[in-house]
Amino acid sequence: MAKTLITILCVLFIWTISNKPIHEPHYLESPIPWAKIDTAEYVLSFPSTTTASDFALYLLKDENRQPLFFYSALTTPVCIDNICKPVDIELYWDLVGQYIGLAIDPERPLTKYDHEVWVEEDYKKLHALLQNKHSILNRKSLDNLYDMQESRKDTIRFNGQEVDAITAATKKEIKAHIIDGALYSCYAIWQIGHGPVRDSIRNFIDRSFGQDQWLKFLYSENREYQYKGLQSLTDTVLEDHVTRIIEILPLSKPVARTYALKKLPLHLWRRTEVVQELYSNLGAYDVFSNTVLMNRLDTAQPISLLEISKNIPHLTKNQIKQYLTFIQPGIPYYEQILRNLEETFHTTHYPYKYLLEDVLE
Amino acid sequence: MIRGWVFVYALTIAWSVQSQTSYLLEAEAFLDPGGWSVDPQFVQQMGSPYLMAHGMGRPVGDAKTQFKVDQRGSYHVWVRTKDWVPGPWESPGRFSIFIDSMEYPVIPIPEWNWVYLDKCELAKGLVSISLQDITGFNARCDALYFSTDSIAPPNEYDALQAWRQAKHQEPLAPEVEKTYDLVITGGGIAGCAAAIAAAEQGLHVALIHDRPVLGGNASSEIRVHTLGIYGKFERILRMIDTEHYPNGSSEAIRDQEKRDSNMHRYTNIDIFLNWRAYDAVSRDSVIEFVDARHTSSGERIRFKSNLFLDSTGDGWIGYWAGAEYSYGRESVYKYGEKWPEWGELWSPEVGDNSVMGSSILWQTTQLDSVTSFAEVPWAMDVAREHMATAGEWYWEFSRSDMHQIHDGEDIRDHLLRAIYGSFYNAKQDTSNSNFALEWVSYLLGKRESRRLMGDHIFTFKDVTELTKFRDSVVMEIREVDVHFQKQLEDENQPDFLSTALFYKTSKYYIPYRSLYSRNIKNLFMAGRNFSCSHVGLGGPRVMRTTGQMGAAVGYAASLCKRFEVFPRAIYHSYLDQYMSLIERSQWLRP
Repeated sequence: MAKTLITILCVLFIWTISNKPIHEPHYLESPIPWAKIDTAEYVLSFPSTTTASDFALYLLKDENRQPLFFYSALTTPVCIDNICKPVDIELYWDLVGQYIGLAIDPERPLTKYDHEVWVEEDYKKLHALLQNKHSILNRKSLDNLYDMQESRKDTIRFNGQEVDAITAATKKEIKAHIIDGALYSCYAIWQIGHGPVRDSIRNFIDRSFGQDQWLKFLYSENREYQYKGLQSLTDTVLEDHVTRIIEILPLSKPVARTYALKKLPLHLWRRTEVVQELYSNLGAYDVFSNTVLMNRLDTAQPISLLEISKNIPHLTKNQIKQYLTFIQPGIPYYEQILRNLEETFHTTHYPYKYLLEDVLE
Repeated sequence: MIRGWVFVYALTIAWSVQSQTSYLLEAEAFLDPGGWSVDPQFVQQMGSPYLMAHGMGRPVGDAKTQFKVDQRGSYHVWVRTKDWVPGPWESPGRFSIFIDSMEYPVIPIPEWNWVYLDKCELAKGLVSISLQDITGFNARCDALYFSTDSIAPPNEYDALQAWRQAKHQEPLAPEVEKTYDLVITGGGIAGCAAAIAAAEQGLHVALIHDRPVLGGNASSEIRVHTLGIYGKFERILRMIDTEHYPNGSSEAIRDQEKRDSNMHRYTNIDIFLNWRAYDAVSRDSVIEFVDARHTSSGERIRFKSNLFLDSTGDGWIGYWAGAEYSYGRESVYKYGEKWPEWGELWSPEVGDNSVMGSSILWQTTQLDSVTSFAEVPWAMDVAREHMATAGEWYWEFSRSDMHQIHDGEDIRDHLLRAIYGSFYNAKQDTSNSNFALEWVSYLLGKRESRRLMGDHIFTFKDVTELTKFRDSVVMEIREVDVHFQKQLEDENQPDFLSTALFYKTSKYYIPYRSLYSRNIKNLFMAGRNFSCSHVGLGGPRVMRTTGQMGAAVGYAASLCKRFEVFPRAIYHSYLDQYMSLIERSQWLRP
């Protein structure tokens, strides 16, 4: 029994080690060095968008068994006119399923339709293409990528290994986004990098990670991880980390910042120190987040009104109008607020002076 | 509420009380607008159609008119105008008014308001007025007011409307009434399709549209190509749709001609071009009439019918009549519209007032020689470093603090600044020296505004579940695409660019029950204001799909007339006849 168990563990160990990436990535958008990878743990297989077979997805971990990246080594046929050729590439995703890097076996470089080997500039362009999750390749079918009215001038030589050959030219609108002569490769690789694998990763982490991992996300420096942490931590846990939430807001991307602001429990808007911190940062926030702040004025502590009065030039016309409906004699900080508004009013070139006139009169 | 006034034509009516004499000249009613355009888009916000000098940087020709002065004397003169870009620069909205040969420079102030010009002496007889554009950049003039009294006219919306009505001695109700089998307000693709379908079934139809050409977003004035499938209505939709040219292409003019000539072939469709509805009144949840006003002459007509279609896009008829409606994004939990990959960008946990934005399309041309483009300092804080020589659908503006209807003029103006500023930046590159602006629309191409509520609210779930309804009258295979502003993901992006999220789908269906109001008994809706959620709108908002809605409504209206029932009864009592009519009408010869 013990012997069998040892054998299984050995097999698993060898299998795990053997799947560690061996080619240093051409590109890896991460502050974590590639060399930190210690093990590759098979987590699931995801369906290919180009073949009937599945691809294996690995979770790469450091020596402390902490998850670093997801990884897959892919061999996929790229076909046109029933002529196919395998393309070998290794892709990396971060822990929330965003593409972050690629590697190529130096012995098996990518080639274009005329057999020309890709140069570094081509890989750079592919990496940029893969980083664009909203690429035009997402919404176009293969047929739509070619201009069937326009023939390529080049002679296409089939030899059973041909790729990226087609009798029509790439449409002008997508030429800027792909590598000339490698449309099919670009298309196939983008579809894999942004296809079912992302759902698979999302489902895997939702299933496997717990509150402790989400907390690590919240405290990481990665904006995407912070956002995922905010979305996944329970309200109870989040309440214990309000300071961290407020701390990350200025550097968050607007969609995450508005999400966080909307998610803050109502009673926190009645805590003076929280409200002061939030509204004093208004100048560092985007217009969408500031709208959330303005929509909270009816419940927020009055200190909010004072903090806003120091940041009037950061408000839009509608936000100023909304704010001014709260400025009435008798509210706390009224005199200070008026002084601040007056200061803004006398600022040279401030375009919305006329909105302040009534209040200042 | 009835609002209105009778416009002053060439010879203005003098209005006198006691010793005061005054003359109100509506700019849109000028005898010769010259190169100025009549803009009626924001009547419900600022009170009136107005003249705008949309010269794309080149001053437009003078607008001219005359009026008759009955009593010589000293008159105070006001002009209602707006500085559309207040800031530390010379306003692009400045222009001059010539009263006979005397020039009065107009320096507009922020927001629509009366600007006092001066006191002038007017002799008895005809007085000539002209508006002289200075910048070519969208100066605007709503009206001029001459009075022997020094009291400025009111500016607050309701007071201004009442004052205008009094000045023009306008009765409360329009004096002209017309009665139809079906009154359609909004001549976009949905409205046109409805008119054809109803007319082919013998209905006498009124089609009210506030522009000089039909087609709405597909018209030669906005130039969005039509997308989507034809469903059961190919025969009708091919008469009014467009080719798949690039958005903004001048090829839209050819399709405009096709649409206009096909629409005018129907003798039982009365097309009211340049008429804008301003009210709809219902009693016991039944609309009795829609009132509309000519956008230049100010004449009014009351349209009566047993059946009304709201294809205004903004849901105005429903809004005035008291129909239930929604605006903004619902919580993801309300209708179960989650798409985990895109989370908040697709459908938020907490609902909000964000919606997809509006676009202004534009085109440039390359001349044989170098051409200049004026400096536009007032555009640069919007355009920033962005350079462009053409626009596309993703030139789109929406912001959570702005409403696509109430703030429409500011949204349009923001997009104009984006265009002028980006083009100015592009012109600094010598490779663009020969580029010139060929066409910039000044009409907002809206994607989303009010959505009127029907017996069925079409949602994303109807797409993901591919629900087949008993009353499936519209079908679509195109992706559901919901847009968001690029800045939500990257603050460094310009605020006037958007990204689309595409949900690929098999064929899905929209039921007839999403095409009539759930609380106004005789109101149909078609177009982007049909009954749907924010995400539900993402797919069917394109114009062949909205055209399907219109055609489906047209056929339903014909059965309403035949059986003397309201729209809901078609679903409950005459569904077989309705579905059968749609089937067999596919091959009708008009």
